[in-house]
Amino acid sequence: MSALRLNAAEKDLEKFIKFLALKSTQVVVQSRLGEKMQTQCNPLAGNDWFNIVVQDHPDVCDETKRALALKPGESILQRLPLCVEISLKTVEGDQMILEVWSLDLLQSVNGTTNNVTNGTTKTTDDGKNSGDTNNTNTTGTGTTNNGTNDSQTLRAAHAIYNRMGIMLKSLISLTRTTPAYKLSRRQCPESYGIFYRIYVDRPQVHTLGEGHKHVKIGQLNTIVGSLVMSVAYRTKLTISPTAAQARHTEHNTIMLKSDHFRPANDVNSPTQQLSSAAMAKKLGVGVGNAGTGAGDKRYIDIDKPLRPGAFTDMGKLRQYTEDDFVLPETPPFEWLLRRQRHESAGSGSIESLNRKCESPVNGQRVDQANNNNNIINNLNHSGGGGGGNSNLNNNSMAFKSFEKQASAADCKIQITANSTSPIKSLLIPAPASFRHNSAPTLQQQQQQLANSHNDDDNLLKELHFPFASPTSHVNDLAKFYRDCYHAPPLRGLNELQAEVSTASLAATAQPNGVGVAPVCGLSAAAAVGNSASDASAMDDLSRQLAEFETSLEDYDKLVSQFGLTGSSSTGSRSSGGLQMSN
Amino acid sequence: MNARSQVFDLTMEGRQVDEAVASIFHTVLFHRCLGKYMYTGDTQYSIGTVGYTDVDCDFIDFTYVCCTSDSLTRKVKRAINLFSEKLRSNESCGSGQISLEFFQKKKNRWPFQQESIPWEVWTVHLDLIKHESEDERQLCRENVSDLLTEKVIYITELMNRHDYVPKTPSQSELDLIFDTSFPDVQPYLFKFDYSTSGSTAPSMGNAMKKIIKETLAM
Repeated sequence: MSALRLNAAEKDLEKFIKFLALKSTQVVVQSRLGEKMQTQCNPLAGNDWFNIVVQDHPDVCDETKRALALKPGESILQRLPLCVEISLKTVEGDQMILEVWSLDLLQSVNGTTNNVTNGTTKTTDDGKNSGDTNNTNTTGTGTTNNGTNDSQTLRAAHAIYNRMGIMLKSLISLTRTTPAYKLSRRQCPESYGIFYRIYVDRPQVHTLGEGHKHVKIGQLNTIVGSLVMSVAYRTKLTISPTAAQARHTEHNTIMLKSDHFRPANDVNSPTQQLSSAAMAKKLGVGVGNAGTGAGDKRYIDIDKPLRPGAFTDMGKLRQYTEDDFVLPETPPFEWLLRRQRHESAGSGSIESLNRKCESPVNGQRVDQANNNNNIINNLNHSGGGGGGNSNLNNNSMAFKSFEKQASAADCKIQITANSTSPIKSLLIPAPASFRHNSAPTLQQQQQQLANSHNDDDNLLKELHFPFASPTSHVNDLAKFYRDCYHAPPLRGLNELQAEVSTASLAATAQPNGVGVAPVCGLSAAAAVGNSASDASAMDDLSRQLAEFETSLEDYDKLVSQFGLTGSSSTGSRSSGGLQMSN
Repeated sequence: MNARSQVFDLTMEGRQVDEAVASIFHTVLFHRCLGKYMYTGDTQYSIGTVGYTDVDCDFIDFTYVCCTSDSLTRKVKRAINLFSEKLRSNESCGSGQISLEFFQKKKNRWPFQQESIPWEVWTVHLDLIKHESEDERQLCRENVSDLLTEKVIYITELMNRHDYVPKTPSQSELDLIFDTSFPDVQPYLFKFDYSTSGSTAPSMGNAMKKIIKETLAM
């Protein structure tokens, strides 16, 4: 009899556990759907298990049943632990297990001793099986009508049923607190989705990464064992590199070369070869082959003919002969000296550029845009900013600005007139340089002086400090500054001016009345409209423009030479080669 | 009788108070609410079911669950609001506590009043802080959320212990255990109590007043 009763109580319990399992999976999965849940209370006809309204998702229900795979007569107790695994999957295919909820049954050694909830197993001869009343409605019956043992069993079942209800409530509350809940609320098809998996096994917590947390939701001691509901969840929510990235490892060889901007010929150096060989070793077989392959590609064979770049105009390319590769021998730092050897060999050196500058009547192939660029560049430089030129629109431009920087701030003088030493031009501020270049008349000189005086005043305005006393040091400074500005022209300057004027006269085709030498109409118009100093400045600019335009070819030549000298590394020390040294 | 007592210490901004307290109290109440008892006889009854609702907080990154019951929600909200306003008012010095007390009534013989015996008390002690920068505020927002997570886990842990809860009585005595005033849920009898640091002294006076009043009421 008692065995029968015990059996009946167990049967009830099994039923409870089964529905607790079913409801738990529903709660967990529904909480991860990404939406807020609301279920309505039903005070009258409550048909829900554990008196909690948990809607049943048929999919989840099927999934749980499939996982449990209960055969008709089989007990659920043998099928526990039941786990619900929640995972995240990104659109890139990365996957991360977020948490595992589990319902487990710890088998007790002796059902009676372990039962804390109530004295359920104190059974006697009353064989009436009343446990079945507690299926959906928990009909709590009164104590007096039935036998005491019967009621005890019932009470025990009732208590367990209520406990399970509390456990389920705890589960509902806790599903909203783990990190996966926030993630699930933010899920969208464009970034990631939340997935679930129900399985019957020990919870696989090793998939949750380091530092995962384990929370026991509740433990319920029953006659069949201790029912434990728990969750283990991930705390580090960063996706580790997975298959998606592993696929790209063979392409990583391109990342190995950190000296991307090193000249290609350096690859031939023994150190480079060593390092690439070492890299290949480190990479292992498959990747190593790819690495050396990439290294081979970077070698440049000088014996092979040079091929034009991707977007070069094939028609404009010229064939180079051996002669083109030979640079004229020039003494070092020769470019710092005054240019005299105008008739040097016609290979593309700066000397030849300057020579052509002197006769700017040559073909005006350069378009207006280039002109404008030149003007801008020159203006920048006449403003005194020697190092500020970054205009690299084309080869000639680049080279020009480069040379300017190299020739210590006042390149204008050097390129155009070749008449003043750089040191002098450094000492004399911007307005003074105009004097040298434009071969001024006496009248113009006076104008310039007046002009410079005006500039001077403008500058000195800043030195009038409102609260400085008349005897302060600032006034001394101002005085010194003014004196420097008003220093009498050097005697040597006159000689230079004479030289420059003759040179520019020879160079220009038609000097106009003011004595300046405009080259193109644009600057001429400007010169007439503006003051004399402006005119001379413009004239100066336009002359430079013209020079650069005419010597464009030579610049190109020179640049191509640099490329060649760089690759052959024979190191012919031309002036250009010196400046372009790596 | 010794009531179980739990105290949560929280530090947060004033505007987070309502939601933080509500999340704790609603989690507790959710566990302490049953379905409505519908008696079919004096001892025969059926129990209704409890629905639940997810509530997103505005000032904390947190979602909590409460019973789907407007009347219950309103009652909790009103009590927390009173406390929160007092706590955040100018005369308050920024700390106070509110407690949710579950009790059962005990009938006494006629001349004596009904006795209320608390059996579980949940107290939230709050300290208010002000944030200087938005970064700090954001950081705190996350901190408070983590803190509440911790508290909810703790609450569920306690709820699943086999601690004392009053036994279900017969129909006539149901009101001594449960609050039957709600149409949809049936929580254990509960009340709120609060005090703020600014009103500690007056509350002592109140207590005295209460004692005198009760004596007179006899």
